[in-house]
Amino acid sequence: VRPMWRQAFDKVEGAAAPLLEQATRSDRFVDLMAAGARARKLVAMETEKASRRWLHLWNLPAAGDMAALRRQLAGLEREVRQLRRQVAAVDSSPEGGR
Amino acid sequence: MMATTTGTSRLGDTVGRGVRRGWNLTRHVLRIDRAEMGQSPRDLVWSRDKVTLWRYRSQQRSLQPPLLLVHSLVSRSYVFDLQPGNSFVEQLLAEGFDVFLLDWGVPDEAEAHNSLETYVDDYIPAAVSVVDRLGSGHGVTVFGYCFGGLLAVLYAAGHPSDPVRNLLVMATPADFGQMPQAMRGVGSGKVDPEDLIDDTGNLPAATVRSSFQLLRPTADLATYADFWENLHDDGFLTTYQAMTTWSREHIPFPGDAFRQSVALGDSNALARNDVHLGGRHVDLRNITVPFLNVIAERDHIVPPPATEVLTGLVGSADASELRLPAGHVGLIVGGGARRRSIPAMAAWMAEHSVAADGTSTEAHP
Repeated sequence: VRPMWRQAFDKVEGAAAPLLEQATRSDRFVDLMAAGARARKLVAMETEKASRRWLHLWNLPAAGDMAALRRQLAGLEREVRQLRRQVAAVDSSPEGGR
Repeated sequence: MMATTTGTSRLGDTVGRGVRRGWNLTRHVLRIDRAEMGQSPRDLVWSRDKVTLWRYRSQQRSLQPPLLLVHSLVSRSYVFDLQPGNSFVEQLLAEGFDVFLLDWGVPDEAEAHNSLETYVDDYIPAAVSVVDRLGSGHGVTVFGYCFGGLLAVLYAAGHPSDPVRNLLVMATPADFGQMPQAMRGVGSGKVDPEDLIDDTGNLPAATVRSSFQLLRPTADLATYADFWENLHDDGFLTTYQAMTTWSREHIPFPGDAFRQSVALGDSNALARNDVHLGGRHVDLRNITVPFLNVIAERDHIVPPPATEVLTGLVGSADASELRLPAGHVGLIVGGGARRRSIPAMAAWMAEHSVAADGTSTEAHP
């Protein structure tokens, strides 16, 4: 037999879950989700812009600079991967052993 | 006298239970003796970029072809080998299969430009070739789970001359029009994928997790209630820790693959067999090998109507469906999986296998 607190929880959860699931399936919810995602992106961009201005005053790198650096490194990593594939392809070709 | 003994015993039980609850709560909070996942011994047999191919050790590889597990792009692959005694891999090894696992690793900026073609035309074909070689050239049984099933199907359709001997997909989305709204929101044109992608160029793991949470908004609360109710049970705590760790450890979705998936969902191209990758039509009718579509009847992530269309789209003469009374993860994890789902899938695979020495087996009349 389940404890009383659990029976009460199951009753409340059983009643609330379908309502919440229905709410998340509605067009209105998707609209809210879209607006939320846009707002979050905008706030992040504006915050980064403001902090960058301030940090650059002190010659310090901002989050955006680090992100750009990481992207550059990732670009280099992708090029190395591409080169490695080309070398492997040459090695495995019939003329590769020469 | 009798009543006193019963009363004392009940008091003893209550105290014992209380002590166990207290100890288990301490263990859980202080992270003492945490459940460890992915414990089956295995060897790294191939890697490319962050992708790794593992072969599980076994003394009883009695069936061929070997089995290649292709996992989804958004969660950790150790769900296939969750815990000793609760492991899909362990059970298949015991049945005599030679099991390989393709693990995508955790994407970062370097994977942001990974497209579906990167997986379908590069990583999977290379892994299949390695598995085929290590499995003595009997071909490969490819087994895709969830989004991994989608990748497996696109791969098999796009590479019909590759040594794929059998294809199984489990809880694989195909008809995106039948997917839950929280999964379709991005594809509906209302949510711009670019608003979700972070500055690594990928869809963050937290966003992936939120999209799953939206499908069952009260699921986390119910899980906490289960935890509190069963805290006295050591076995429950171990499974709880393993499952909650897995379900909270999503990985970022590579940006370009995410954009393509959104477009795929938006156009519902797979359900119309109209997927184009790398400028060519990936025709699902090119899949002519034995095909099994495993459907979880209680799947809230990929409901049966979203996946059942796949069986009719492939060109295999031997294409069938296996419907199981399970949820999305319950297909491979838990008591129901151990007793029903895994044996049913293993039986199909055994029927489509031969003995490792090339002779036919009872399982393959």
